[in-house]
Amino acid sequence: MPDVEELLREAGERWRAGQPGEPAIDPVEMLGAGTRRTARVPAGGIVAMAVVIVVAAVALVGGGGRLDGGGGPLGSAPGTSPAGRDICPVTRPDPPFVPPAGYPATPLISGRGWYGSASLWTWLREDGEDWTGLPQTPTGLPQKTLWWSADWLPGAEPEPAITVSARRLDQTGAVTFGPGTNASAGDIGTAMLVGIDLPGPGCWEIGARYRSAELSYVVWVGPAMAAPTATAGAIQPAPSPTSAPAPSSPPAPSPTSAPAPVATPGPDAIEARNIAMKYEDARTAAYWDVAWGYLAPFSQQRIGSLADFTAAETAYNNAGGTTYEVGQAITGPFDETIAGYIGSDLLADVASSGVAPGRTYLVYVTHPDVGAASAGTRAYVIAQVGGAWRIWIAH
Amino acid sequence: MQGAVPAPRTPEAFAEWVRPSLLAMARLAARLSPPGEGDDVVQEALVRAWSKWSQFDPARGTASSWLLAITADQARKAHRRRRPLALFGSGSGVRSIDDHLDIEYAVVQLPARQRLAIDCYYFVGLSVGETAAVMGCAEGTVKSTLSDARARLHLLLEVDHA
Repeated sequence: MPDVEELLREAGERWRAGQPGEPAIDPVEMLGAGTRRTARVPAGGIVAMAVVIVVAAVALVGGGGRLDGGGGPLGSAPGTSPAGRDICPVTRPDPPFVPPAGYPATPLISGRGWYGSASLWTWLREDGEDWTGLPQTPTGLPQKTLWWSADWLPGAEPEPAITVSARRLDQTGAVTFGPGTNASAGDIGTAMLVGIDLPGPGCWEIGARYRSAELSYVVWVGPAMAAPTATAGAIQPAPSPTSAPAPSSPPAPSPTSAPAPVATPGPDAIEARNIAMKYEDARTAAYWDVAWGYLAPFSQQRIGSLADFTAAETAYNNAGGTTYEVGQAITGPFDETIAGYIGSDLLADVASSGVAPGRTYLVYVTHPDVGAASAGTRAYVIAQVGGAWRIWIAH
Repeated sequence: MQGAVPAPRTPEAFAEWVRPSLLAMARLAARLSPPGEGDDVVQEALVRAWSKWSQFDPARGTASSWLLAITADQARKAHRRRRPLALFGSGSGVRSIDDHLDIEYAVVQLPARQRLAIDCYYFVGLSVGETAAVMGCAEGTVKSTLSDARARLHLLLEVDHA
């Protein structure tokens, strides 16, 4: 009969004895001097991102950090130069694939064509995918990929066993993502959605595998846009206001597999998104009273008490809710579909607080580590009341 | 002694503040991260901690607990980035078939929360309080999770020895 306690203690001591001592990391050098690290792909992109964010943060507090030009892991990537774009063999849907009966012969969004086979297909821009201007986040460059298959039955497999890999063609490096979830919207129907985080710009081959089918295409990933804040939340495209949600699911995110032109959000929309991040930071760090303080009385009353809130959110965090991704703020007034999703009583409470519809914001927050896709998505209505930002929890 | 955030918030002050926790952060990252990514995870955790430093409230917990929780979160994100690849990695997680009697192999068989508790408490050497901070739960939950994990390991090792 093994003595587990003793075995664990011995194993722990053995393991610690085999570990190096103090890590060879100098925080001062890392934060203040803009020192470059050489790291393998794909981690190098993340490290470079971290350095960029730290230097930006240092600059914000007057630290005066800078990046040396030309030699950083991202800056030196040959694929990020204009010439890299020219030699990147981006895939075009030519000739376009015609899906089986039951699917539109061509995508409902102009300028795109189907690509693949009945077993697995996607859509591509007719002139090739160019993912320039993706948001920068500490986890990489987030993008959503959409896939369809005649073999996929959304009702039977809401989280399809699809994996998507990304392989750098102009350097070494590969990352894999999956499984997927489902997305429904008027302009895409129902598709398999897999979110990916590319470590950096360049020429990438995106490949998907679903059941026995495989499909890949090449995409150019240009420089990222500047992140609005140095936070960990991944930025997602704003949900399309024209999306038609299923009754039990939030309005589906915009089905862009390439960054569509997006209107620059106003300062209040940016701040609303920041408020969502701050709330998530407090909630995930178990600063319950801080998180509770962000909630509008309407939502506090719905939840019950701080103790109820603490219990529910603790359980949620234990189920994986400590990792979050915050979408862009959608500015009101909301169309009928979104308003119906939020709920008339909630919007009436916002209005009764003296908030104009045009100063009301909707922010989606996903918690990808929470099991089911719908369970991991929350929607917050955020507005400023009497100088203080408040959150109404819609879902 | 780590305590309130010193002012001004300079990189040097931050470095001084995190230095007592660096070893624990490195061990936790080594234990929880995909193989070979421990250093990157520590750096990412430091970056995250730096950007959120103003939010740290010593009244709510120690700096070490706060930094370890951030480190664990970054390690989780590292796994998310490369979830399928990690299954085939070598190192902290997957051992060869010859080691199947090893306690570490049995630990790998545990449910995720139990394994996290074991990793933090026995392998990284964190206290129950620090483990609670990493797991985002109460200390009592840590103790019960550890108890459940030991019982499960007992069964696993019994089967192996049978």
